[in-house]
Amino acid sequence: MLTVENIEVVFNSYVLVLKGLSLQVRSGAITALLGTNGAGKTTTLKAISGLLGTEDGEVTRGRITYGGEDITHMAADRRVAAGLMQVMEGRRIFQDLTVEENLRIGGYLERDGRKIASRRELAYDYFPRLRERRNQIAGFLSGGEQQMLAIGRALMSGPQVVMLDEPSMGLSPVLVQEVCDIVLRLNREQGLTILLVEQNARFALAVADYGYVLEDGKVVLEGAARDLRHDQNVQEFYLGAGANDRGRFSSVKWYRRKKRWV
Amino acid sequence: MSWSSLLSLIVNGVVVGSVYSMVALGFVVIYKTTRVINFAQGELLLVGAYVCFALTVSYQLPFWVSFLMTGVFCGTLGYIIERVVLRRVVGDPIVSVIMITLGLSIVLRAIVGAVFGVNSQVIPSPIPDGAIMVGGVPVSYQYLFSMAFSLVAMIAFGAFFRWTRLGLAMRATATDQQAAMAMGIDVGRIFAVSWAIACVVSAVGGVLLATISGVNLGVSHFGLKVFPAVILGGLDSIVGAAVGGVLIGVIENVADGMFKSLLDIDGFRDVAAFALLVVVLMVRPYGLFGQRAIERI
Repeated sequence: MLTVENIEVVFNSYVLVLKGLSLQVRSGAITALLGTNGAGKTTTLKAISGLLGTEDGEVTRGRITYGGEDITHMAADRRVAAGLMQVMEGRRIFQDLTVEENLRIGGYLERDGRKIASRRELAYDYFPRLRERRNQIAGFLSGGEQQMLAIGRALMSGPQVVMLDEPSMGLSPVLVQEVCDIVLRLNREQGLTILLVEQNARFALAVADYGYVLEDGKVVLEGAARDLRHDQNVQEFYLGAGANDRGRFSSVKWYRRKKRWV
Repeated sequence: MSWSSLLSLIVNGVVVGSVYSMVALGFVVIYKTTRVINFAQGELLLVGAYVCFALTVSYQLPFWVSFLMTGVFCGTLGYIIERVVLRRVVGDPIVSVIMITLGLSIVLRAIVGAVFGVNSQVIPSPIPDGAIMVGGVPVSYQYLFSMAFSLVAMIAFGAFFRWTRLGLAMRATATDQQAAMAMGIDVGRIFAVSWAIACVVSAVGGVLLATISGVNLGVSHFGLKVFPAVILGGLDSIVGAAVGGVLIGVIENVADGMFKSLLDIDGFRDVAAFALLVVVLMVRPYGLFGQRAIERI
């Protein structure tokens, strides 16, 4: 449904961040993108949602298609209208607006009042805490509630694909579990296609059907989430298992041990 | 100084202040959504006043018709200015943007001077002559009208930002441009609309001013008075702009009158506003109504 073919993304016309990255997001599935800081996960999402322009980045090669249509250079608002919605890293709710106003902005492109109302009810059903706090200024919500709001706001546009960028960031384990459940429920109950970017690989591989591991702007590993969970490299570098040979670990300089598969 | 002369100073101050408020409102709208500090705000007032003058006097249109046409004209002008000039410097360093607006102010003033001449002009007011007595001081209908009109305009704008879809989108854009974009808001269009709105309110201020005391090219210094007004009120607050404008108008008028009658010092008017500004900034650096950034701890 959503295909990224061999894209290159360049920032400030000379910093090459994505170096020929390809991936596929299947309709109705949860796809996870894993990788460390700077691997290019967020850049990939922004290339898909069309937000690179604000950061002086652009897709210089390759193409992104969505539902058979080439969207590589489409304006961001038209991609939202087409059903692609990104929940940005760090939640990025509108702090000075109330919870309800935030939701209304999420449904900005929808002009049908009844649809807006029913989607708002849907968001409140998934996140009852938001209903309680509907008239509060969003900036005063707790981190978990802000994340709920960010996801609820994304639902307001009636998306087909939701891209979640680090939804577990800065949340306690209990809340991570809660977000995890919500993501699964949205996928099962609403049939949402989800592209999940995470550093928390345990969380991501627990919910995802398929996963890609990114490093240095390229996909270095991909496979069904089930297989990735048991992959030795992933276990060692992302799930914290496998590195049992402590003696040898310390004898090697840490930067030389830094993960590399080549 | 007698009570009645103080009162009349205050009334005059409120009237001038309501014009300041309109211009300040325009300034705040632009600043809030685009983070551009617009030094050409006073010139936009000038354009509005002269266009309305030309329509009423030279083309003999009824006041309200030309008033409406002025609004449309200035809205379009603002839209075009954003599209043609400021769109090119989005994301550039603040100094270049300031230079652009300063340049814009010079260009606009020159154009107005070239087209309409440099003489002082008064727009014949649609409001009948006459006055009501307030506390023993006559307040003309004209004054009442400008105050009421500014008040209505302020309330209308408050409602616009609070309840309409576009107003909400403008506030969202003001808070976080990239996130607004991710919501499907065409940020470029929001910028252009905010310029259009800013031009319209400034023009309204200009027309009010022109019916009260007339305009000449020097009136563009109203643009400078906007700084104490908006900084007093907080750069990002609509209410602040309204209150700040009126407050500055009253304070400078009263201070001017006081200094004249008590100390025999003339021309304190222009200093008063800025003196007050310094004091306010020392006490409340974010302005009287400005938002402190929300910080959760």
